[in-house]
Amino acid sequence: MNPIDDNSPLSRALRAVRDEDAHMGASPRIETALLAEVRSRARVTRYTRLMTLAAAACLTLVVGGSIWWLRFTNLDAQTTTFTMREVTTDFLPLPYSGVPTSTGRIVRLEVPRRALDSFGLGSAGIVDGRSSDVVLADVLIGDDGLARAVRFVRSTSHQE
Amino acid sequence: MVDDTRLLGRARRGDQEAFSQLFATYQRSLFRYAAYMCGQDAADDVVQDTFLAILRQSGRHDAPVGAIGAYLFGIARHLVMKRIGVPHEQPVDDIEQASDEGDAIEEATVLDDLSRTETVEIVRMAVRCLPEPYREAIVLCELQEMPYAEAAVLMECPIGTVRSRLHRARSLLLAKLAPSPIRRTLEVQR
Repeated sequence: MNPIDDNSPLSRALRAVRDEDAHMGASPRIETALLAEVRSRARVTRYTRLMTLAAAACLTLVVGGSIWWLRFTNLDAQTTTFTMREVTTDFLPLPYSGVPTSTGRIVRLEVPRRALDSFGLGSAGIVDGRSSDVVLADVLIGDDGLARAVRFVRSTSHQE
Repeated sequence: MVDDTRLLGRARRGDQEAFSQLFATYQRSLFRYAAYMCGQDAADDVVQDTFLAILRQSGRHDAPVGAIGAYLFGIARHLVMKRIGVPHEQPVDDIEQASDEGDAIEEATVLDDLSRTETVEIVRMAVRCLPEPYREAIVLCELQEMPYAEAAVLMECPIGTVRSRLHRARSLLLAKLAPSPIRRTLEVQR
């Protein structure tokens, strides 16, 4: 309990002062000046928020654009790599190459590596330096189902 | 306390209504403290600088530790001490030995003979004439009804020191309010 709570003349006098002082306060101009400061802070806050949003938008654009560009160039690069790295021999005639045919289609097959020998390509790596047991071959088949020609393929999928 | 902290956060972000609420809650007690400690003209400046400080400290503290009132009083006290030129941490021993003149008897005052208005004016004047440590104790604990523990934290001293300063302050006040000096003071005023 504070001393002012007792009933001495001094305590009563201090209570009277306290009651009278209850109305004392800073002059209105102080609140006006402080509110101006608060308003200026509001402007700064709005500006900062706007700049943050703008920066975030820019960042999103840059990151998004970069990702898109990387994906795009990657796809392009993958396609290009595939076509650029696929090396083929000329079509080599097969026993039925002399049989006439009006149309034909090419079928890609895996054939034993020793098939290279029968075309004089050998297994020493003229077509494919890898030591796999099979190599890729495009076989030209006529509309009668007879194989007319073959070419050997070295593709990236096989190489890598 | 939590609400005041939120109000402060909103005020710092530019919310005028939040600031006005905070200002209305604390400005009177801060003003009274400053007015007794360094005069009414300076009190306006102390209140303004205190609120400016709390608004501008957002970079350093998201929210003050403890009650907003104590935080505001801490800033106000720092500003007051700078104004009246008192070192922030005055040695307690020096203060306690400052004066023994005030060990007067409680009954010997003129207060009962005066009107309320005269009493208020004379006591105000007597409080303003007290040495700074005693004045601060009276203003905080008696006129602002601040609990001793809070006053001790604010005044950066033990709670026992607050009690002894209050006791000494009351004695000094009684001495100042003794019949003859008061009458002389009144005559000078008139």
